[in-house]
Amino acid sequence: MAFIISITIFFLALIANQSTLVGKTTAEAVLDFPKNDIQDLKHEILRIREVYATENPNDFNDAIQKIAIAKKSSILHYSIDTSDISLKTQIYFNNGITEYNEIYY
Amino acid sequence: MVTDEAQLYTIEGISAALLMVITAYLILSSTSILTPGDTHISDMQLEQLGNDVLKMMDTAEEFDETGVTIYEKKQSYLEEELSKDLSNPNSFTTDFIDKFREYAGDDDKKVKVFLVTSYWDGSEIKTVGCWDASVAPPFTGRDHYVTVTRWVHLNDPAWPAWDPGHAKTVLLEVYLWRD
Repeated sequence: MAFIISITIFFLALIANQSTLVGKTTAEAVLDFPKNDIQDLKHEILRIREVYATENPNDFNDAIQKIAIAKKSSILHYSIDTSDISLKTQIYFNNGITEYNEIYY
Repeated sequence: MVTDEAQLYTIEGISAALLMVITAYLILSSTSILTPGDTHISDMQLEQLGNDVLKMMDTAEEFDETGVTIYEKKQSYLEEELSKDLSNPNSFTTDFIDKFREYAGDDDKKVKVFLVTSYWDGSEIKTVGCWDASVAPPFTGRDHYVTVTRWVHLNDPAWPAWDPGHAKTVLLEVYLWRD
């Protein structure tokens, strides 16, 4: 009986031991991948796309590139193909650690 | 009467004791001490809070049928506020900080908010900050802050004074810290 109880306690201890690592690794993983930056950029590009679908949606590329280099130390670039009926849109994101490409229609 | 069952009891007792000792060691060694190197955990939480709040502020609360363009129909709080004349940063900053606190949870009085807006005027980057706003918390640069940013598209901004109405994409930077 003592044996069984001590094995149970041992496994419970193992769980407690591992659980302290969870918060740490999660925080590190979240910090490593610029999820919010990419989502924000995508939101902004989609906003420009819906507002300027028929005009020149690529006019803001310059501003975004310049500000991103200066303020975010990242390279951002987008292009919206207005000749394409589905407005093929490409975004490029690179902050030195994460490089990210996306194409959507 | 003790028979040779005693041998079995002894083996069980010793192995259970060993297991208990190992268990105690495991529990004691699983304590983790937060050192200054681990501040990234609380930083991450503040950063996520800031990003979530900015995302909410940059989302239209409702579809406005009376708007003429699609931009006006889906205009968010940030797009509306940043389009106003920013030459007097006081009212904008007050509104912004109030709104930010509302979304972040009013209970969190310790969060300090400081904001800077950057735009590209065709040849250089210019910034509109809340340095002059009396409501902004004193920002020394030595505060342990995190930066969250949000791209905001302004279709018809009332600023700058020499070139209003020119559509631009601006970067809103928000510095967040707790005292």
